[in-house]
Formats: sequence, C-alpha cells, structure tokens
Amino acid sequence: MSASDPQRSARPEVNVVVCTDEYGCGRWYHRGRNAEAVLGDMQAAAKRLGGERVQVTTAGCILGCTYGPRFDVVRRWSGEKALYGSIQGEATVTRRGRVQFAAIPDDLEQVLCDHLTETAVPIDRLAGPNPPANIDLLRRILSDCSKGMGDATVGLDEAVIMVHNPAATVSIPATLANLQFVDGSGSADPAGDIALLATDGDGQAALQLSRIRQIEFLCRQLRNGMPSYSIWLRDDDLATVYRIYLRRSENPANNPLRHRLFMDLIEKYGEKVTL
Amino acid sequence: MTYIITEPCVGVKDAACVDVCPVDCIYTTDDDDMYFISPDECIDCAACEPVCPVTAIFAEEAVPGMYEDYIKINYDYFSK
Repeated sequence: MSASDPQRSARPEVNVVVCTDEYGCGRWYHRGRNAEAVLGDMQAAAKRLGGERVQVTTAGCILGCTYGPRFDVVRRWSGEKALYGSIQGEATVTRRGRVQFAAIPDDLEQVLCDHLTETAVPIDRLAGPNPPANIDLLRRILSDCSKGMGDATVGLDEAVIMVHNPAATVSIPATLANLQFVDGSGSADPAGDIALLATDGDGQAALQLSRIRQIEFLCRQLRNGMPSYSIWLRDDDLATVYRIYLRRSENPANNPLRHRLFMDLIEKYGEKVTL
Repeated sequence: MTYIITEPCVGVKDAACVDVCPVDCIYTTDDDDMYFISPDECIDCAACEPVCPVTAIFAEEAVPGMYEDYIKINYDYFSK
C-alpha cells in the first residue's frame, strides 16, 4: 500500500476506545459522568479538534476491572497507550496485571490534546495526583439518602453503620434522618466537610467527606430470600471505610417506600459513583 | 466466540486493530499478508471491529458468507 492511498492517509493519530460494557462501566459514574456521557463528551471533543485526527469507538469490558468508567487512548504515531479511569495511580486489573491509571479529567478535549502529535505530553506525566473529590456531590447523595428525593415521603431512615479495620469491626444502629453537615469545629454548616449522624443512644458517627472517593449502592438477595440494602463508601485507594446497612423499618409500611427510594438513588446516581 | 479478520485486510495490514487490542492477541509476521486474531486469547471486547479502516473484522458468528473461509484460516493459523 502506498503512502498516498486514501485508506492510509485517513488513519487517525489517536484512537480512543471507551468501555461501555452494560455490566461494568456502563453502570458507573465518575465525577457525574457515566460511560455513555464520557463517550458523548469524547466524541464532541474529537469533533471540535477536526474529527479526522481522533477516532472514538466503543468496546465491551476489556479489563475485568472495577475502575470505570474507563477508556484507552492509543497514540498511533508512537504506539504508546494510556489508560484513563475513575482512579489515579497504579491498580491491578484481571486481564492486564498492574496498570497505571490516569483519572478522567473534566476536560476531555485537553485529554486529546495531551496525545496529539504537536501537543503531546510524555505518557508517564499523565498520572499526577488525584483531583480533589467532589464533596458537593457526596453531600447531595447523602442528603437524598437522608431526606428522600422527588416525591419520596420517607428517607432511608433506620440503618446500621459499620466501620471495619483489620483489628476490629464496629456496628452502630443509627437513623439517616438525623444526618447533618458540620465544619471542623462541630458547628452545623450545610457546606461542612463532615457528615454527622446521631446514633441510637445519643452517640455520634462522623464521616470526613474529603476522604471519600467512591460510593456504591448495593442491593442483594440474601440466602434466606430477604433483600439487603447497603451503601459502601471507599477512600482514595478504593478501600471500604464506612458502610451503611439498612435495617427493617419499625413502620412496615415504610419498607416498600424505602426500597423505591433506594432504587431511585441508583437510577439517579448509578450503582457506583466515583467522586 | 472470537473475532475473525477477513479478506479486506489482505495487503492492507493497517494495524489499527493491533494498536487498540487491550490484550495484544492480534498477530502477523512479515511473511503474512494479513493479521490474525488468536481465538484463545481474544476476550470478545470488540475494540478491534470499529477501528478497522477496511471493515475486515467481524464477530465469528457474524462473518459474512463470502468471507466464511477466513474463520478456518484464522483458527488454522494458530494451530500450526
């Protein structure tokens, strides 16, 4: 094939392959975007850069990972690849072993510029420190859990907070309706960095919001056939640091409403939200 | 299932599929006139299919009738 062949001349400089797997990345959110939104924004960014230099396509799950939404960027002019996902830094994925992730930034056009020939930056410079977690989004999610949303008349209410480390596990009954946000001095502040829950028996459970990177809503059926609802909060290393398990309500009429709210939360935010 | 590379690749060897394949399962040699996907290593992610500039790649069960011979050609390549 000659260099003047039209097929060769149409070769893009950069290929972007966005995972839209319906059982993986398609269900997860990173800083307010799921895989479909990332794909749409990436296609728009590619178009703004002229369309022909960047080819954006989709793929199924290629990693067996839990770090989505994610996409690969392939520099066809150098053969280098970069991997973007919901975390920043090194991680292990089933089919590739240890890989280096760059966190998906808000500006996807900049991502493309970082890989085009004349504006490319060295691949190993892409994995910088994590951007700050989106605390506003976390506050919004927790508030929706506490108060309900839309036409919901109840919040998730009765729960058990579970905190676990290699040496101990603590379970504390609490009611999500008692959620409030406070500042570092403990004063009520809707924009505070700490979520405070009054627990049963006049105790308190404090959560440092800036340390939370990911929140996941889990709805499972137990072996006895009963449903289990829980919310898992994870830190920068995606280690689980705080879990909220729903208890059965003392008012049985509230349980179907709480189930609906839980499903509505998943519908609104996705099963897994990276902040 | 796997993906199969067919006749349009012959003589083209653009290699876009090779570049995007996440598990590096697409092979060739200088003596080969096309690329081949290892059926044992392919993870069915479909990343290769849309990037091929000559539409040579198909899911195994979707290979057009006129290219069906290439299913065997791909498998045979890796059974040598």
